[in-house]
Amino acid sequence: MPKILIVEDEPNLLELYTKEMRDEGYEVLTAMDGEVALDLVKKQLPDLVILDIKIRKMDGLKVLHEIKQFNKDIPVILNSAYETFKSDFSSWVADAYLVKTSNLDQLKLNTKKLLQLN
Amino acid sequence: MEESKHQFHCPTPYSSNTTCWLRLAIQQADLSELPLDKNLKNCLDCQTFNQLSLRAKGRRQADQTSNYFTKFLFSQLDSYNDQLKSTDGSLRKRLEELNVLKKVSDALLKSDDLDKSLLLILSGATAGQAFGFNRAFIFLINEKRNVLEGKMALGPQDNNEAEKIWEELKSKNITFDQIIHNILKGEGKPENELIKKTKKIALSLDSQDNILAWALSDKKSLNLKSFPPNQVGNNKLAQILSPCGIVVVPILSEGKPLGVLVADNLITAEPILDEDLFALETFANQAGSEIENMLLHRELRLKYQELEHINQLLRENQSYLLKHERLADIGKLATTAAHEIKTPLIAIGGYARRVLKNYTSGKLDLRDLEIIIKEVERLEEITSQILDYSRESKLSIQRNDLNRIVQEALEVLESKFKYDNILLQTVLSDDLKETDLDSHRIKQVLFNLIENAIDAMFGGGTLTIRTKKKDNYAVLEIEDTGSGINQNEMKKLFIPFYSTKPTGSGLGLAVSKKIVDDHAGFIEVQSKPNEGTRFTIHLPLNQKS
Repeated sequence: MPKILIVEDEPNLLELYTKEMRDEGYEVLTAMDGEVALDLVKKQLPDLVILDIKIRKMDGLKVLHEIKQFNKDIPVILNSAYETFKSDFSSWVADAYLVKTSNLDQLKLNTKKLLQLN
Repeated sequence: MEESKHQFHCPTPYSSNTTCWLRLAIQQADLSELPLDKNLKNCLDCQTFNQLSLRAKGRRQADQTSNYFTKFLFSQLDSYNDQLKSTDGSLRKRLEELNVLKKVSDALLKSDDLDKSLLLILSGATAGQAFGFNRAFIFLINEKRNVLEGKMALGPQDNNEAEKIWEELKSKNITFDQIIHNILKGEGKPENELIKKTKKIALSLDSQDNILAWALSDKKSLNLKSFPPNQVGNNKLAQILSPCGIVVVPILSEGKPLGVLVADNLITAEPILDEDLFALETFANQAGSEIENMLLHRELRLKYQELEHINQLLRENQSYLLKHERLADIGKLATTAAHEIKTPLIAIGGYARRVLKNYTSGKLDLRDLEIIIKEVERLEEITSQILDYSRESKLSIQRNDLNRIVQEALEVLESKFKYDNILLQTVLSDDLKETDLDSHRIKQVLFNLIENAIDAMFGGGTLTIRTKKKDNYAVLEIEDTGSGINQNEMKKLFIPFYSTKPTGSGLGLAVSKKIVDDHAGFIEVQSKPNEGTRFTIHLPLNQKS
């Protein structure tokens, strides 16, 4: 069972993503801030990370950078309410950039694709 | 002497009104009482006096010499006397001139209008006892048009008018002081033909063009005795000036040419002496600085009026701008609001889809529905805060007990304190039972600030609420032992939509400040990172309106 880490500081959204991804058959790890997220990446070695950008303690883009430095093969999906970070070149190392919506089909599809590639 | 009184025969003894030296000598009157000026010439011309002095011929050499010498002294004395008389006359005239100059200067200080000032100057130049010109004119340089413009004239246009004017002056016995007084009061006569004609004249400043420009460019006065009109250089000018002679005196102020003063004796045709010109120059010098002052004053007044006008426009625009600043804020608010609303909407939409999916598969989870309701509540909260901030606030002020309001707010939040592990301390002063405030709004401020405090004390802490009276203010303090605010954040604290919290709208403090401002109060913050923050609100005890 693939293990994915969801980083999201909105508790209700985190809960939604967790439930939906579990329904998809993934093992789900959760983190509400950047520091916890990085800690989990290093200790639990998830197969994929879904990462919000505006989070507490450490900026999502910095977390992305650290994950890729730690292991560039872990796919990361940036999942932000804002489209603006698309033009920030530090977001380009992400494997996918999604703008948050209530329809999780794209999130699920991208997760599935990236896990298959690996 | 007793003997001599029978020995000469005066042909006009005692007859004339003039005093006779010999007669007085015979009467043995006190000679020191004799008014010299009237009699010296009389005696020198007197035959009897001369015969008497001739009798000394053939007598002793000493007598003869003495006699000649006396006669010589007499004639010299007479010539000195003549000189004295003329000096006295010119001194009297100078004195008159100075007197007029002073009166005009004094009047100029009181004048508030260029036309009045020019009339005052001209009335001085035509004052009978002093400068005594029949007529006088002032031309001033118009820098914008680069011409010399006729500005004012004083005097009759022709003999007919002159007679009328002088008759009137005589019959009413009008003094110079009265003339000045009338000018200052603006009770001058309506503009006569001469003024109208003068005001129509605009001359080139080219010295080759006309005599006024010539005098002005040389900065030297001209005394033009009779001259043909074509020498004037300008027809309109030639028409008004006397062909018998004019004087042109440049008006300067600190060397800067302002215009010319022109005077003539059209009516009496009296020749203009160089000393008259000299006197007029002195007068023009004085007038120069006065005119300059007047022109500056007028310019200043125009500028002032302009400023007043601009000020008025600014005042009108200010209220407009204030309104627009607020609209710009609201525009920005729309963008921020869109983002703020987006997260709950995503959650609601996401859970709704989930509910729909699970409903059909029969695995409905009530928790999903609860979250939808909570997120909708959050949306409502955000929208009402936006409305609070953007609407024109109208307070409903009533006399309230501030402590009661604080306690009511704290009761609502009680469960939150327990849940977030917050220890509550209250230090409430007794003397705040009569505070003018909008209880609903102040409660809103309390909620905002206390919720911020709870958020800052993640994992627990102590919240202290204090009330006290200070001067004419009710003081409300909300102090936490939370994470504190750093210097950078402090500056942006009350800016709408600025938030350090992921779930904050960035409006809580902005709205709170607005409410306190609306109460004519003020809000202060003290904070130390990792130690805590204290918000202090000052509210006036009494609202005037």
